[in-house]
Amino acid sequence: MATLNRRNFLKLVGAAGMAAGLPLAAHGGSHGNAAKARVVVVGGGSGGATAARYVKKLDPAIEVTLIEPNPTYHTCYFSNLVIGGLLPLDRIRHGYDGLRRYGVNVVHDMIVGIDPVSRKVRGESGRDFEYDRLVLSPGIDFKWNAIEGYDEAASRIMPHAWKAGDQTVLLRKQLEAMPDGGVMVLVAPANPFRCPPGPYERASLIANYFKGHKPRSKLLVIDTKDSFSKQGLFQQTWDMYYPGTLEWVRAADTNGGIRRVDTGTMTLFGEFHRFKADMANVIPPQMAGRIAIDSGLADDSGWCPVNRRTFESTIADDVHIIGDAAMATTMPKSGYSASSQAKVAALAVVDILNGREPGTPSYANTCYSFGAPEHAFSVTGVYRLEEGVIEQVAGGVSPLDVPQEFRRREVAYAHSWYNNLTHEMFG
Amino acid sequence: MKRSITLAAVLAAVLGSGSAWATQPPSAKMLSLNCASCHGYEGVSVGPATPSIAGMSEEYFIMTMLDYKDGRRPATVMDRIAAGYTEQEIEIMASYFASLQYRPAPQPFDEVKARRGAEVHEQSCSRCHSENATVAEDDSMILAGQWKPYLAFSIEDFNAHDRAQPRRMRRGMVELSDEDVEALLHFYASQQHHERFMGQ
Repeated sequence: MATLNRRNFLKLVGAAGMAAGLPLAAHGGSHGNAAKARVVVVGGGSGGATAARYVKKLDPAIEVTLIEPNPTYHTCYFSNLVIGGLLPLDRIRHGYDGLRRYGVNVVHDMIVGIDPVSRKVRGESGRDFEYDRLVLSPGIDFKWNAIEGYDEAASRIMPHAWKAGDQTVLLRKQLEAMPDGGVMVLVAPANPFRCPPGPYERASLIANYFKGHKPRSKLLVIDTKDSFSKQGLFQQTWDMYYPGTLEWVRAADTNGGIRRVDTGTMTLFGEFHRFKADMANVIPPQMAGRIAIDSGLADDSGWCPVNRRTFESTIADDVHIIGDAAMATTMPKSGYSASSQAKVAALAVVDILNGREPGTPSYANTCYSFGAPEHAFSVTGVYRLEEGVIEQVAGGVSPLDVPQEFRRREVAYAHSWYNNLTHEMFG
Repeated sequence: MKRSITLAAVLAAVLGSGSAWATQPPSAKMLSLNCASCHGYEGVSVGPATPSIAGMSEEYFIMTMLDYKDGRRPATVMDRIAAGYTEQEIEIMASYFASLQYRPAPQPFDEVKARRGAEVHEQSCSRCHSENATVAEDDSMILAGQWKPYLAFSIEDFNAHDRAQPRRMRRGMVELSDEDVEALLHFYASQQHHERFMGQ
């Protein structure tokens, strides 16, 4: 096997140039190990873990390798319950031994280059991984300095906590350390971003914590939008539980939200407004995970265009892109969506590798949000492929004005949703 | 003759529309995977509330989904979800889940209540929910080994008259005290080792 020519790697090539210049060569399909096809899955989050498990289950003869830098994964969903002090961090932590038991080869490495021509990915370790089909589930990365002054260093003072783990713990510790009577600012991003109802669930559960432990404190949500996911349900909850504690400020009231931060003075600036905070949670604008951007697999929007039937990249052959990074029309960027897309992609990958036409896809999303510890509601969507786009055919949010018993049932179902979703991914 | 008509029909279907392949319904596997994220891998829920749907009878599955779809059964989320599937898709899912092995939920229960619940079951429920409510062909949910909160929600809905039920079930349930109902839930929760659940 010839050694890989570094120049073939797409690392750090400009996205525009890539889109135009990528060679879409046909492959002979031959590889050293004739009996088995090789599927490499990059990214061990909700999308990647689900894809790896189902490719292996649907066709055990396929060799499946999942490549993920971290030894454990913390789900972003339910991390607001950790931030609100309702769950310990280990409740949202998952390891990869389950996937190993199912026959997935799990490797801890960080993929730094993709070569779709010779069909290899390269790890930070220098190791190359060859594939017949690549499934990329890179999640999100942040557009540092899109809010002036908000870079990775600033996120250690004003955490984003939009990738769960250390940042979740940091935000929780800051909340515990903040004196009663303090003011916290939460900056919510413009669409599209990971977990559309997430900032408002977080605001709810932080307000719940203030109410119980720091009743003189205030939480100001400075939004970059004038409306948001599950808005009616959240605002009803806030009126019920958090009047005087939580205030939401729409974009129109600040001429477009926060534009600059100064971590030294803990000040956040709108066009004409300034907010002095005791602590701040800045959820910055987002884009597809770094490896997708660096490999030229995203377009100018910062997200990855895909064929919605199979989640194959429209830019590179033999590469499927799923989860938050993919442009999946109206499906929200959620862990459940990533899992649903992973199933569509896994079935397509197995069909393609067995010489079959991929079948008709079907997609779904269901997400629960907590407004208070015993108060949850949901959004759901059933989707189908219509002329190349993913159309929502049914769904919607929980009704307003229902008995509290309804919200309590949704709490019970929210826990079941979390458990079954993650059990399916990680065993 | 018959063959040529069939062949012509197939050709017409394939050639008549460039997207004939796209209008095929999704496979049973594809559709059922949508359910798994909440109802569990292969329809076996790890709880604590969402019911397992593996091993459910086709007839009961279809009736349940159509009741949700048409708003005849109270729901938190299933009414919104069921509305997204055609009757044909629901039938495909029903047949798939009926083929899967039901597994009882590993959940705690109170042994004293469970013994009392066995008597309540025998007296009030067993004529329809046969063999300790383990039989899918009774065309109800398998109650034995089902998650307790789900069963409790169902009973609340029946008692609130939000959910339709057979008249003789209504007659039986009005005679049950809250303690009887509680005991029943513990009895069903205790049914974790029935021979029917030991297959495969």
